[in-house]
Amino acid sequence: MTTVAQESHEPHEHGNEEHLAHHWDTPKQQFDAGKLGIWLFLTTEILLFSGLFCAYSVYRANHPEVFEYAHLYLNKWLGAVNTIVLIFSSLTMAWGVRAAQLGQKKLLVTLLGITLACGGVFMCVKFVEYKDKWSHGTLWAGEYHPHVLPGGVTKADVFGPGGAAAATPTLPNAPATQKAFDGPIFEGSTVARAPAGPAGLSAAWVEKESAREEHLSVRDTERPWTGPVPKNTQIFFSIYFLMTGLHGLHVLAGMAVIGWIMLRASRGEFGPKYFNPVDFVGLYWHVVDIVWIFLFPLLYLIH
Amino acid sequence: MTTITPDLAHSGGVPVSAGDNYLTHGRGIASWIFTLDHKRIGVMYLVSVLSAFFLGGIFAMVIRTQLINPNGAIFTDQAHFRYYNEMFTLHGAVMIFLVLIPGIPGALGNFVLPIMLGAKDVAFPRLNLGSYYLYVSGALLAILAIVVGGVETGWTFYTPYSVTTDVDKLGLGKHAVEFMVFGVFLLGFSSIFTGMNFIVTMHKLRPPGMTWFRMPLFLWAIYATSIIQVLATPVLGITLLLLIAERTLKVGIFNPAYGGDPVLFQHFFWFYSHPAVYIMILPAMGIMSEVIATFSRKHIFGYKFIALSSIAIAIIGFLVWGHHMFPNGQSTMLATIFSFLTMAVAIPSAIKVWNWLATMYRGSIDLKTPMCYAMGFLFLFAIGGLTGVFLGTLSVDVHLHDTYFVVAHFHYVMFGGTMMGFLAGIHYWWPKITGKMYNETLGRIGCVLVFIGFNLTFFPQFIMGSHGMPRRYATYLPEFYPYHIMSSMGAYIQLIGFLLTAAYLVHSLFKGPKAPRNPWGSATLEWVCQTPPPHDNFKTPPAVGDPYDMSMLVWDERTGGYVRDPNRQPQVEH
Amino acid sequence: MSTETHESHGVAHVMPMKVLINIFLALVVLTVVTVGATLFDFGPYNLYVAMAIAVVKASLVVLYFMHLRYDNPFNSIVFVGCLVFVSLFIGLSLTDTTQYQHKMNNLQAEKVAAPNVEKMHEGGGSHEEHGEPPAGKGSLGN
Repeated sequence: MTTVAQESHEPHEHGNEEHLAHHWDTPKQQFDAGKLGIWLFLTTEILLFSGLFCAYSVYRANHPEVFEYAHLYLNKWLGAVNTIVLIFSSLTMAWGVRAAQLGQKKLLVTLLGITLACGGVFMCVKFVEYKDKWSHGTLWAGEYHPHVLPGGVTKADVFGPGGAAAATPTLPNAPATQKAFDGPIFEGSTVARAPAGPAGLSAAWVEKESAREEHLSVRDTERPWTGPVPKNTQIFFSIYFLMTGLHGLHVLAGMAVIGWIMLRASRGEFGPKYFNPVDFVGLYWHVVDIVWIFLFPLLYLIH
Repeated sequence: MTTITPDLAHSGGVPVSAGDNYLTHGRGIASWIFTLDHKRIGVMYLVSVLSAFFLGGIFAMVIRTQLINPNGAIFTDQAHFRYYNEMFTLHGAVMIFLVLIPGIPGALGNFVLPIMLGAKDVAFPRLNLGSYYLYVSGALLAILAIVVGGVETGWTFYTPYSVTTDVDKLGLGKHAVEFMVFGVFLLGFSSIFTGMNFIVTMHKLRPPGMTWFRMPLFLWAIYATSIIQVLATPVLGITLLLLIAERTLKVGIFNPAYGGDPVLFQHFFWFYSHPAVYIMILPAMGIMSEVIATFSRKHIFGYKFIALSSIAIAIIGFLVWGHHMFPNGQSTMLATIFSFLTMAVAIPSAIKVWNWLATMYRGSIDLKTPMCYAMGFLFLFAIGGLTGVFLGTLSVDVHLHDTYFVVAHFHYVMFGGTMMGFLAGIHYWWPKITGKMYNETLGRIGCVLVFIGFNLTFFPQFIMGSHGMPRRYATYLPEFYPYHIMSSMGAYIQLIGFLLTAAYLVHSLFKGPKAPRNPWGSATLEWVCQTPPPHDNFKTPPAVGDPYDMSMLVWDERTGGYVRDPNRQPQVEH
Repeated sequence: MSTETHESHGVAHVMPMKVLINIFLALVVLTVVTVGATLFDFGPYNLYVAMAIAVVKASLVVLYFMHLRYDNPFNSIVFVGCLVFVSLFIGLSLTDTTQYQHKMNNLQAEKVAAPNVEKMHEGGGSHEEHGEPPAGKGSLGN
């Protein structure tokens, strides 16, 4: 890379001069420089997330049972939907860049709008998931007070409608104490497994448990969790909320910037000579997608 | 010495009106606040960084005054010792994040880099201004943290203390740590954007003929620094965010009570903070290359070795962070690996030092103030670097960790290295930035005072550290008294030296003689444009030659500076 | 709609529609594969299989959606360099934590022995002149 590109024969056409800053010689030089700049920025974004991936690796390597247990609280179908939504939004974004390069203003605005909408769908699904966690009490470590076990098994399911009043649980291998549902699960407690139809079980619980078993066998060949509940399961949720939370913030920021680009596009600011912001915002959005491509199997598909 | 009329080739063939330069182009405070001119941004950085340096210096004076008395001269009882903790925390945080990291790249790099390169501006001028405002915001947040309650965790914010301390305080005081940590987060982004800007500038804005190996070595140093800034700082970013999340939400990643791991915090923190010290030293080394070559009137020796050693330092610097954690719970295996790699990182630095000495050998040494600071750098950085080898030796570090030996080591490299380099650079480019010359005699006196004061402050610290004096202690055993008193006396001598330096520099702004275009006779491009530079540096790209070929420059008595000898053609390099 | 695949007005390469659609379909298929892979148990390699598929998906996004295949090669160097440093960071931290993990797990089990002050006075005469040995010096290096 020795000398600067000289496009001496190309006249400065009207429409790009206003976007050519004084210290650049040609639009291509400005574009290439901007591209290098955005790639450097994306490097920093990836390194920012790498800290969280490091924390994930460290805790999963040293406490695999925590991850194998706690991820059962997540709904992998919602995760898969989110993955497809983001991949689709990457398509519309890349297509939008192409539209900008070819001067297809209307198509560009439409595609940016669809990308924005996909981001919105992603955040809505995220909201549903977070709401679920909130209602189950499975938040990050400091606020971890789960009152259900994976699969939505509640106290009432195990102890009957009397709840706390039932002094002796009627299930074999049922949690020995109420403590299993209160606060971080430090002591070993056993997730109840339903033998088929013993006396004393509530019908609703049997039905739910059978459905869960079926659900599990459709999903994979792993056995439903039968061992003691691992210590420090709250760490999984700390990592879950940190990773998906930071990712969600980046999605929101991306949506804001895409909205701004959409506004500029609707004013006709972009064309074959100047589409730099569309391209660079697109690159950012793809990185957001890539991070989710890794988050999905790491958080939702552990087995 | 013949009288030579300056020819117009120096300004790219276009006569530049004497009165119009970057300082006069556009008047009023708004033209400074919203400026996109890298030179003005550089000047704003310079003023801010030097102000922060004095603030950090005040904290240092409090520390040294406290330690005049073994039982504490200022803070004398348990109830007040936390203020001492705040003093060393703030001294460290202010000096590192507000002075050393942004200092040379922000203040001198911003001003000099585009001109030295032959460009009109940096690649992203608005981002440059954004970097400056991020710096200011971060600094204000850090000051807010001081005001609302102070931070006493040490600048390293180690967990679990940093996540559990002061949470029972009232009002905003409860959040002092979060304010400071978020302030540092913003400063990190300032650093990242500066690094991004410089990398793209050097890739895309070099004029015709300026190949990579025709760039001055200061630019190579800035390039290596920028690589580190871009790669390391984001990890600090996530570490700080996690710290805030720990304190406010209690996510528990570093808190053993929730199943977390406090040593993991140290891995996260030092992955950035070790390369950070190379962010601090590399630009200073770049300045050394410029100053030593110019004031030896000799071509730099081993150009390629110095250039590539900068890149080597940047890369190897990422491989050694565990040497800050030897006795902290790190595994023995990793400790051994890091100890071995730490030895490797000394090699490129040594290559530079030998090349500078070889440059001086048989040169025509001119001991102007920048050269005095450069000599100080060589002496002090060598001591600092060698004592780093002591600390990198695993078995020795077990005894020296967290003692004053460490304190002395890093002050020798950060102060004796970076600050001496920064001062050399300020004096070197002062004529170009301000258009005025400072008083040379006072400059040398200031340098000598700082040098003597510095050695008196920090050399005794090596000795008492090896005898077991721990760092960050507000009081000490009486046996260490002689060392501490020498150390504190040295600090006061340094203070006098700095006050003198500040005085004559400020005086030169008002009463100093007008500077010629090229007072020192350097062949790099920033001396080709007028003094002070015009708004957009060069009307047409300047002619590029060997940046260290000074043979074509001759002294012009009339202007009091160097000019190109019109009787000679520039030598064309391969 | 123009379908040119080479330089448009000299600024940048335009991605053909076909490539975009095909890459999208490939990504969807790979997502299905990722979920489907959870039906099979590869033992200790489960994680690596999932990560391998994720890497392929990410590569497709980077090379085609992000244009890296048609870009200035230096941009690729920047990206790969980033990944190298991420691996360095995660790799060394992970190695260290797994190495000292056994010490953490045993912390509750083992009792920390109190320093034996008499023994320290008996040994090494050079410390005597300082009076009491500083606390904690004897228990380092376990």
